Amino acid sequence: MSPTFLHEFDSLSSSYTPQLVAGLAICGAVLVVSGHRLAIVAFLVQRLIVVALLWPSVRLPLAAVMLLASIAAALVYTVTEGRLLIAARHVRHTSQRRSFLVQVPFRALAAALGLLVTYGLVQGYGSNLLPLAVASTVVSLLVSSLLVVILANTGLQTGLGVQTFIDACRVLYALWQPNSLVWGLWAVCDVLVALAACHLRNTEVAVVERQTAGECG
Amino acid sequence: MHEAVYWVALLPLAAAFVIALVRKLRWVPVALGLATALACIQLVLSLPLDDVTGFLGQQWMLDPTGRLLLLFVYAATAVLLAIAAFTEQAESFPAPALVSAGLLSAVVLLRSSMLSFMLLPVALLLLVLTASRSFPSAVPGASRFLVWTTLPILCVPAVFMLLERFAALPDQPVLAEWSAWLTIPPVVLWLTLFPFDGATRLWSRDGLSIGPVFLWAVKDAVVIYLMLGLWRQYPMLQTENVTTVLGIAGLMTAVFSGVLAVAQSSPSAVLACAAMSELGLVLQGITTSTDEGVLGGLFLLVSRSVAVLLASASLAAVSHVVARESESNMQSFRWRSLVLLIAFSLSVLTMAGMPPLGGFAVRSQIYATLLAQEPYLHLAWLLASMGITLGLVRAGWSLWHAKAQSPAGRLHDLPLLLVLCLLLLCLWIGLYPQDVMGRISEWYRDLLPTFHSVSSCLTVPCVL
Repeated sequence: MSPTFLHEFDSLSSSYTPQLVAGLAICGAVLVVSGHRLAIVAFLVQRLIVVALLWPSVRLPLAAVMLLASIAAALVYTVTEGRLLIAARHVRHTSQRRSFLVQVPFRALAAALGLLVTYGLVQGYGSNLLPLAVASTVVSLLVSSLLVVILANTGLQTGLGVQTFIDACRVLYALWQPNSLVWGLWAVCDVLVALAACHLRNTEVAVVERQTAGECG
Repeated sequence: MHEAVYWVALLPLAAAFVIALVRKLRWVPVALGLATALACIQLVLSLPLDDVTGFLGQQWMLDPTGRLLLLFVYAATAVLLAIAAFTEQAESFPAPALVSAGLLSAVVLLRSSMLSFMLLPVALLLLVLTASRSFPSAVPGASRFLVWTTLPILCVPAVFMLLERFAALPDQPVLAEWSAWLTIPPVVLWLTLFPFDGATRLWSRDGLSIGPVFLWAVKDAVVIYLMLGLWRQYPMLQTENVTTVLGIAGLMTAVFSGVLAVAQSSPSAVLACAAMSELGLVLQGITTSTDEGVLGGLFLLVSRSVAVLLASASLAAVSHVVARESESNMQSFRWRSLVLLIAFSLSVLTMAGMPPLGGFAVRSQIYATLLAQEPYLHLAWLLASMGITLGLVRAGWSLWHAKAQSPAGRLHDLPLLLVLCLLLLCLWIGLYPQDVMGRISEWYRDLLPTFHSVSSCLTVPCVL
């Protein structure tokens, strides 16, 4: 990375912290509400914001590892979704499994509740234990990850929720002089979670297809 | 020279890569996997004991207990690969199982407890890749397992950070107490104790999925080894409060899983309930912090692992044997099915603690060490055993009336041979528990003396 870019990154993380935290909360809400494709975009944006926020603590090598892992994970998700879309499985699958939990209004209500809980927790307890920006970041990530996991209807959504939870852990861990090996292990874990989530997504689509073929046959 | 031998952890990874390339050929991955497991057994036997070696920038060491555990990990993986070959899971199981076995080897060999605990979830979440499309319930089960496996990642660095602080500030016991409490979520979640035990049960509700069998036979042994190792290295983590909470979690797992066996309709789900119920008792024995209790718990763990492998092999062999018997003669007596039914029943009854099988005597030993004069504990265990037995009756009926699902092909009686070998092993453990107990106490002699000293370390004040 060029020195100019690094300088810009420095000023971004130091001068625009409230905006970045707000962006994180919005990404969390989008992650809860949206379907797969938009959720993947929200996840990638959320990761970029987390890297920017962690930049003063972890600096170049560790931030680069996290960024690479995030891009690899997003790539795995995108390729899986793209492949399913091309195979025309996606539409049939979601239309069959649509349930109350995946209805957008319900999810939007859950996202609003999540934002409210985040605000309440940060105002009530978070700022006593941690700096306000850190508390807001961690609580926002934790709340959105739990909501995504609870409302997950597919393996891919579960994977995104788990990765958001890992992000919250990573922000906390960055406060205590992070060990580069542990950081690297987390990056590996990140990519493996994406692979596992995509495997589950492929498998559940295959199961539905098999059941449909069985019913037709 | 020694450094080269530590490639034992990496050999399965390389084999898994090759297997992933040739996964379309049904028998090649299984043969490669079996060859890798055998090669790893040979390598482990040649590793020097208690010799610290630098490799890949880390310190590695193998103690006698670790050697036995690794031998067991590879042997169990080889048996499971053989079982996978009889089912339709030969494509999805070998590569993730081998990678997981390799990472679990690294977990055992690494000297740094923190790195071992960080590597464990990585090894576990790979098993999600074994979820097979043949069983619809495998997907939600594996999804939940993915969540439970990764959640404790928050607690692990916190435990070691607090321990570091405690080493610098020994006059603040609250730090040790906090770190002791933080060890509970990883143990409960990685062992998927109650209420999370439903995740592994759900995974195998509608058929024999090999992934969860790997969890019950291999993963649980590694997690318990790590837990005992952590308590040995940091005795202040084994406080009375922590062992009480884990003991209660074990009791609840034992009782609820046992009772739920009655409601299960498939033999594999009954096996899952029995395996989880037995794990609860294992944990209860280990958390007594006495030599007798820990020995009893470890005996039950060994007996349970063999029983799980036997039951899985029996279930895997059923469809082939039924197909063979249908092909040969409809009128002749189905002696092969009868052998399999007996093998399955024996393994499940072993986990239910039925006399005169080995589990019964050892349960009495654990019960005595728990000093539970109150009848409720005995009744709770009895309730679990009854649930498993009733579930077995139901599962046995469906197993006896199982229909042929696949042609016998050229497998001949290979599945039956594997079942007979495991049956003999299970019977040996059941009929000669004292022999096995003696061997276990010999193997774990380097762990047991610490439990005497641990009792004196339980005086860490409860500040919370």
